[in-house]
Amino acid sequence: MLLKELRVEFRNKQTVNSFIILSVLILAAFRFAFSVVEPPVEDIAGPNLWMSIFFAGMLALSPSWKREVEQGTRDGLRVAPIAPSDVYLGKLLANLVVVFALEAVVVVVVVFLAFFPGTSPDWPALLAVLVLGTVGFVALGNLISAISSNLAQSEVMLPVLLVPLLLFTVVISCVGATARVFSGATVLEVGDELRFLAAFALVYIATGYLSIEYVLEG
Amino acid sequence: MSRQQSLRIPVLAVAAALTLVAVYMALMFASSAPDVDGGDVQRIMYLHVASAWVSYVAFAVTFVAGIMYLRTRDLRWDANALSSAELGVLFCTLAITTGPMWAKAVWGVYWRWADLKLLMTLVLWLVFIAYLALRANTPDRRMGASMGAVFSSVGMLCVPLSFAANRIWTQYHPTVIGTSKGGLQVSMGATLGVAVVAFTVLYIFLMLARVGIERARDELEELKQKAGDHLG
Amino acid sequence: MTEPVILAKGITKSYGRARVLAGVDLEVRKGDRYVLFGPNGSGKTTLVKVLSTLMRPDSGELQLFGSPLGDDLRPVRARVGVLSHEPYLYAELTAWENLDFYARLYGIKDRADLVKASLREFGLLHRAHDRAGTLSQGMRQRLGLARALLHNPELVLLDEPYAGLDLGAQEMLSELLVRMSKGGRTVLCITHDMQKGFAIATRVGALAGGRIALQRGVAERVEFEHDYLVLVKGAVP
Repeated sequence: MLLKELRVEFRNKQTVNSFIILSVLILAAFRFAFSVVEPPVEDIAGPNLWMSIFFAGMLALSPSWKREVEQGTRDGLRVAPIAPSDVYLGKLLANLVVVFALEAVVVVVVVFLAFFPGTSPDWPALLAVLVLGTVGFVALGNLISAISSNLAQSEVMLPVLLVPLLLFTVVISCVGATARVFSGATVLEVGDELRFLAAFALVYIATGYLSIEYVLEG
Repeated sequence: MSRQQSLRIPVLAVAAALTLVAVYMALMFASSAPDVDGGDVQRIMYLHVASAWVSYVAFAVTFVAGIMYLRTRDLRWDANALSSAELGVLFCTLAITTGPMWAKAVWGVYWRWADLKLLMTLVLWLVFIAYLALRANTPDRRMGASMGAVFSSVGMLCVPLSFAANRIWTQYHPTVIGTSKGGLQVSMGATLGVAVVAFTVLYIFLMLARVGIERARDELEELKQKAGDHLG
Repeated sequence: MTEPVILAKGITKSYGRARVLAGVDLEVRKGDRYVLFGPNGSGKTTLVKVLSTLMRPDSGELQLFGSPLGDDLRPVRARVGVLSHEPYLYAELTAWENLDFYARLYGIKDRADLVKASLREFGLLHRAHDRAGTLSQGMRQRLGLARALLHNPELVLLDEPYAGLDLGAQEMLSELLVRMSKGGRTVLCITHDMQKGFAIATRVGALAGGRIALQRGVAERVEFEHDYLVLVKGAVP
């Protein structure tokens, strides 16, 4: 049954490129906005990075479910003998692939601009934060995206619903941890934050997995 | 509406009115107590704390009612959830607007990011405003009910998570914080108690009224459909 | 006598204000080819959605394959094939990929052979590697049918299957449905095409006013058509 996951990825072939471009653009926009006030680059790099990821990510997540509704294939998925939870997992993996692709580009840009040619941040730490934070973000976003695909104005509703939930959980943790990594912390030093992020990720995945049937079936 | 219900509402209305009057009186009398912190502005504290308290209760009710709906599929639970969410947002808005007023008087700042209580209230407020937006944008009643329940559950889940995450935050903003309230004098404590009770009663009253509206709406729907059947 | 494949009692369903189904009672037995007619807006599509477990009725009882629907709908869904107004196809995937995907969802072994055979049967083999979005409407309809029947379901629910098909394809479909029901499968089909409907049906019914207003055996075609016209005229104010 979990074979479905591969298939879901396949479908995303069209739009990944535009999202990557979009995320870089958002990054640039934030940079410009902040540079008016001229704070030190390392300080804003963390928040910039995550803002870019979050906004571009949210835009990337919503079509994942919405398109199914539009194409009518959502019912096709439901009428098949698969559990809604499997659909959730499948989408989760597919979305993770997309968002990770985004991030790869954005992170390289940010690190390059912020650190080159000086020291570079501790890569294992940075990667750990990125991976865990993103998993948490996408796990919750996936569920909320499924919810918003049922609503009128779904593109707007996704951020409306997602941001309050994310704000003090994932956002704070990710940005906080990243800021520390950028100021030189190593993996062990951010261990606390990493544990939180891992916990969030697990909790959100579990929540999504369990609740998705109510969202799909109503 | 049943006989019982139509008797209850006037009774509660009177009770609500009486308690509100009691609060008002209490507030007036509190002016005689020596006020440590802020003079008259201090009185807002009663309003603020009571509103906040009621809003927490309201949100908890929405959360529980949502889950009960998913279990029983009885729309009455959903009526409760929705009504409570509306009232919760109402009282929470009140709390959030009165809070800074009081805070400015007592601490000299409008807002303190590191204060857990403030954070929690803010999160809840945002989450449940989102909840109302969700319900407003869902045309199908049952879908709205299910998804609202899922959303409110996740929202409530985020509250303890926010607390946890907040610990990280405070590492960056260590502030020397005194206790959030100065010592409460007895008379103030009593007034506070009355205020809380009064607001709770008000909440119950409004809930009953609001839920009554929802149920009336549902009944109307049913009647319309039955009428439609006969005509069609 | 075994239980009916579909047994519905008092099914109701409303969308907001509108009461679409107002107490549908329906019984379909194994091997039946039940054709349902009804004026536009009479709720036929909604009924199919309820019968295929895509929608939950507001009230009433539905039994499929002799037992009421439990919490886990998977086993039931595995035995049902549905063709709705939307053909449930992914435009960005090719015809082959679409069928392959659904074959995986239904847990079918030896997918490649089955997909190939299915494409051949529906005359799509030559377009197998073209994206579904580029197919003509008739072809998409055929692909949708192929998808619905891919897992050899015991119960087949079809909503306007003949729409968009050319004559040859229509003939093929009718033939296929008759063959399937002779092989023990059950078919419920909604159509506007009275000709085609009667050609394949074992029983017919008409949905109007949210209820099954008429039900007949195939032999009583003349009476049915007459009553049906009365019904339709009456339904239009």
